[in-house]
Amino acid sequence: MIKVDKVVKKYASLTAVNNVSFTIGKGNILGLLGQNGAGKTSLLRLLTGYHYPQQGAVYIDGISLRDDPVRAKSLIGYLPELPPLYPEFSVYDYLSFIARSHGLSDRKKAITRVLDICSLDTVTFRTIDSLSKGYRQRLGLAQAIIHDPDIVILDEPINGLDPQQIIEIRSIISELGRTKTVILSSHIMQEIEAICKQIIILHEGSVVAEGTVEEVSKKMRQSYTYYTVIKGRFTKAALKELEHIPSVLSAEEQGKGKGGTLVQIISQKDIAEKIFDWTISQGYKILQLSPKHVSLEEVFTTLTQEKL
Amino acid sequence: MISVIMRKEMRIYFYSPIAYILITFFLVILSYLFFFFQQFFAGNSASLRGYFGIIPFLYMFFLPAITMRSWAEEYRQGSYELLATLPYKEFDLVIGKFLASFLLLCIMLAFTLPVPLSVLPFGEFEIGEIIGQYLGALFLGAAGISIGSFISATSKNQISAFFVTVLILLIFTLIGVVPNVMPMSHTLASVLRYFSFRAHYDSLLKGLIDTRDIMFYVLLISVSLWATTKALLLRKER
Repeated sequence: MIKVDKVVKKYASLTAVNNVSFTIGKGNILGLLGQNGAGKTSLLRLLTGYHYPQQGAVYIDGISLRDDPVRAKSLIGYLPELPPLYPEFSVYDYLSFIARSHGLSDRKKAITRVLDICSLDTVTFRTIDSLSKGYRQRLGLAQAIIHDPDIVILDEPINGLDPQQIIEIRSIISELGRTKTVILSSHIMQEIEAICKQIIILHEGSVVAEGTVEEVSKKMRQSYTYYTVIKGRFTKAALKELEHIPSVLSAEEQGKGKGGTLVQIISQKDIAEKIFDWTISQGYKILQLSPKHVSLEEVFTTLTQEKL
Repeated sequence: MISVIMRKEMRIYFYSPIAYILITFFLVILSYLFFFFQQFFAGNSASLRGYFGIIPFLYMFFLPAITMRSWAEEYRQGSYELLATLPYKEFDLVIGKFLASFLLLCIMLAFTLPVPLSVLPFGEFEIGEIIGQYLGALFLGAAGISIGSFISATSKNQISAFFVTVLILLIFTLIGVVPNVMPMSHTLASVLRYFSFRAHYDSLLKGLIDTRDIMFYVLLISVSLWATTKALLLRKER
């Protein structure tokens, strides 16, 4: 649906987007993650035809954005970081303008649909300058989806919203992601982790990691850490023997309780099965065995700090 | 699609006080200068050349006020990002905005009609001359708007767009006078006179509808609109 092919965008001496390539299909939510100034907005502007890259190309459904921008842009709905609104317009007039711009024949139906989706029914005839930030953000989202586009691009869609509004917008985006291609940017990792199926981590304009959240986390693992609770007493000799399992780097007792002993095992490879088999073969009973989850936050911090 | 942009621009003009303020001030100042400064009734002349002669000077301030926000304000409030990513050609955006500003000018000039109509019974006015004068005012206005639109498209804010447009319209209005006050070659004097707004406007003011004058304005408008489109396309490549 969207193909980004080795795009480069420079502003004077600053390289905002550096040789970025990726492809994303329908029914997927892609999250662009990066610190402020990482190149997220610049990349989204290249995807929406607001700017053209100095090198490389962007294809929307096979259409080159540079060669046929009008047709390519008609397939996209875009919410910039600051919702682009006309303060003197009413909500209805504004949406009517956007609907006309997309050449929609049944404008009333399209407007009613997005007013309903974005819960704007109560402010339909209010002027935009009297709306709260939350309503403005929803209106920005409404204009992006009024023509039921195949691709929805959202730049920091939850920026500045309160927790309730975040839940509402997140729910709308998740719903959109079922049938459409959604690309959103954020510097809030929890947000990306909660909504997106795929992620791209940008740092200084370059892609430093991409894939599903699990894949990115996995790639970042230098070692595997397991916590296991073993019933009864677990001797130091047993810990030493545990360390003899191939690829185990260390095995340490972390604490004792009434139920058993908590042991931390660090290894170079994924050896959950081997730990389980060894423990049983030694006559111990495993109450719990769990790998330590590597959060996206840890991955993000590692990747972006490594490059600093 | 051009009509959608035009409609949107007209809404912005009339949803805010801009259009009402501009029209009111234009009419008040024009009428005051005509009746009280030029003292039309004391002149004992059945011609409105004086009335239409004031218009180029008022245009120097009113046309920039119409066009200053057309692009610069879109850049400032971030709405240009919306326009540029909607399925429009840049040229459609330029024409839509130009036509909206021109329509506002037409409305402004339409409100001046009561003045010629009210003085008609007092003398033998030539209707053809008045038509030529209105035509001149429309072409001159359209040329000023197209230049103002280009300046706004290349400005970061509307205040600078206003002052730069005033300056350029001042140059175009007075450039024809330079050969009268400065010694220069005949060729240069002809070039300066050719680019003078007043030289072409003055013929129309006399009721002489010369295609060369009309072509001058049409050419100037076309070049300005083309340059505005180019300026928008260059923004994408920046």
